[in-house]
Amino acid sequence: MRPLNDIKLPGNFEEASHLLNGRLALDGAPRYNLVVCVGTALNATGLISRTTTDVDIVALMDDSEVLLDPAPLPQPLVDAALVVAENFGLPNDWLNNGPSSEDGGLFRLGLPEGIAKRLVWKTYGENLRVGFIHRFDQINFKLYAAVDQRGGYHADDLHMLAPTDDELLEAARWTKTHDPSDGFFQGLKWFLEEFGYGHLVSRI
Amino acid sequence: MDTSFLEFRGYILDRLLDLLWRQWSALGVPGRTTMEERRVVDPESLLLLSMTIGRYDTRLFDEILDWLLVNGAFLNVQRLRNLMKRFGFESQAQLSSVSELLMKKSNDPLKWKRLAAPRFPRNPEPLFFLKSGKPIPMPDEKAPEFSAYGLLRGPIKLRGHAQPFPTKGMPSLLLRLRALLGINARCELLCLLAAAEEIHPSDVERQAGYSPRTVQNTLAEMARSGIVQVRSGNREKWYCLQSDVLDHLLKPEGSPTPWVNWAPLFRAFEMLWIGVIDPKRQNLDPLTQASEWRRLGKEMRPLLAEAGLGRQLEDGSSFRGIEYSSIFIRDIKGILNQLNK
Repeated sequence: MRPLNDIKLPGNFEEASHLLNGRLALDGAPRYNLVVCVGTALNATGLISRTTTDVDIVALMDDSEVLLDPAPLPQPLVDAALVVAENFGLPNDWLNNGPSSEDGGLFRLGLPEGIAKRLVWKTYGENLRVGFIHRFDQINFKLYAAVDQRGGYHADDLHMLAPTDDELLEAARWTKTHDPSDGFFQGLKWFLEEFGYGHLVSRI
Repeated sequence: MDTSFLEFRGYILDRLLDLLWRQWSALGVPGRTTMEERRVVDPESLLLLSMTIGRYDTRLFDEILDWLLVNGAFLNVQRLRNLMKRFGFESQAQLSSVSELLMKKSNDPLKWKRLAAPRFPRNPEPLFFLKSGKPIPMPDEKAPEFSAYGLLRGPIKLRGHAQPFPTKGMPSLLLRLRALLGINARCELLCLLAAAEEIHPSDVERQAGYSPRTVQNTLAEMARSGIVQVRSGNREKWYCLQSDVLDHLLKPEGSPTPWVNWAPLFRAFEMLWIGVIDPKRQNLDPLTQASEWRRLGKEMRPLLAEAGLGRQLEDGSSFRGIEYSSIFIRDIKGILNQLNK
């Protein structure tokens, strides 16, 4: 992972996050600690470089480092993000809780054990910190998404993350806690065989 | 604090004070002015803005009080209330304090009583500030008319130098018409009719500061004189003045009466000033500052449009992030310069 000082959100999001901090301060909002995953975190941490259109919040964290459900997002954060969108010509949902927005979302189904300790934080000011998830947690999320969507760009991302066998097996165990159905298990086995990880099927 | 922000804030205040001095001087307030006002002055809109901006120029503020004692009979209190309500001017406490004073000192206390808002408890604050934004030191004795509304200032000592408004010239036209015809909508309607070839009642309503019903009824009555003429088309009525009859009064130089829709323009300026002195907006980082200019611009633009200056403040959506700061500052300076020409 890149050193902390090098971490930058892609494209407009770096400036957008600085402004988000400014807007929150101006509005007298509390400090928010956002836990960010998927494309934005991949870019920011230098794991994969690709175009991202939004910032996906998988959780919030309070100042005592307890992870919180990001659904719904706090209204002051939503209001400030809308102003930022207007300032940078971003879509109104540039900052969203998509991965954890519903009951079937990542937060409510359970995040990987120890995710909070692996976060890499960047402070944008008094009112905003962004925690980027670790490569290991990306592997977990990417495997789950790749099985769920039968491949796609999530499978490509997973390849680029180059997981070790142990990492992939750990991720497979975590995905099964999210969806214990036989259908998902069959899908998981299919994905591993189809995408070059067939040697692990017998170990999951 | 950022020097360019301070410079911009100072520029706005100087230009607004120039504009106010120029208009009040044209109505008989003795004082400084290097430029002559040639447009019709709207005394109600002028008073509303002056109650906010005049807090940064004690001399101007008290000269206005002096002027009101001499000429206040020709102000339209109902129109003042209409404009304050419609545009959301934020000078109610100052205006109520002035009304208290005029209730005591003018010949028509009942008129000014209508303008005084009910007294309401609020944290006392100084009435006057230096241009830097610091409060002006106050003597122990306070003016009770202002203290009643939570505004602290020393005793009022008026110089008694104010003159009756001039009986010639465009700036005092509205006041002169009131002296001739009484304080009613006819005076604004005549100015508006003389400012355009013909005019639709909805435009008049927008600009005159009266209710639609008052405007429609008054125009219909004026049309009975034959001097105001009506043209009907597409189920709409357009009104104009018969040429020549009132030209000597309304268009002495032959050109249309130089009427400006001051009320929305002045409210936009009040919004601008209150925006730049907001303690929360001092010491912002450049990105957040640009965002605040964008927000202010968005609020001001419809008002400027109503005054015919909407296109002079560019829409922020074409500019990303910090880029908008220089655009906003350029456009506001441009508008203020244009009005002070």
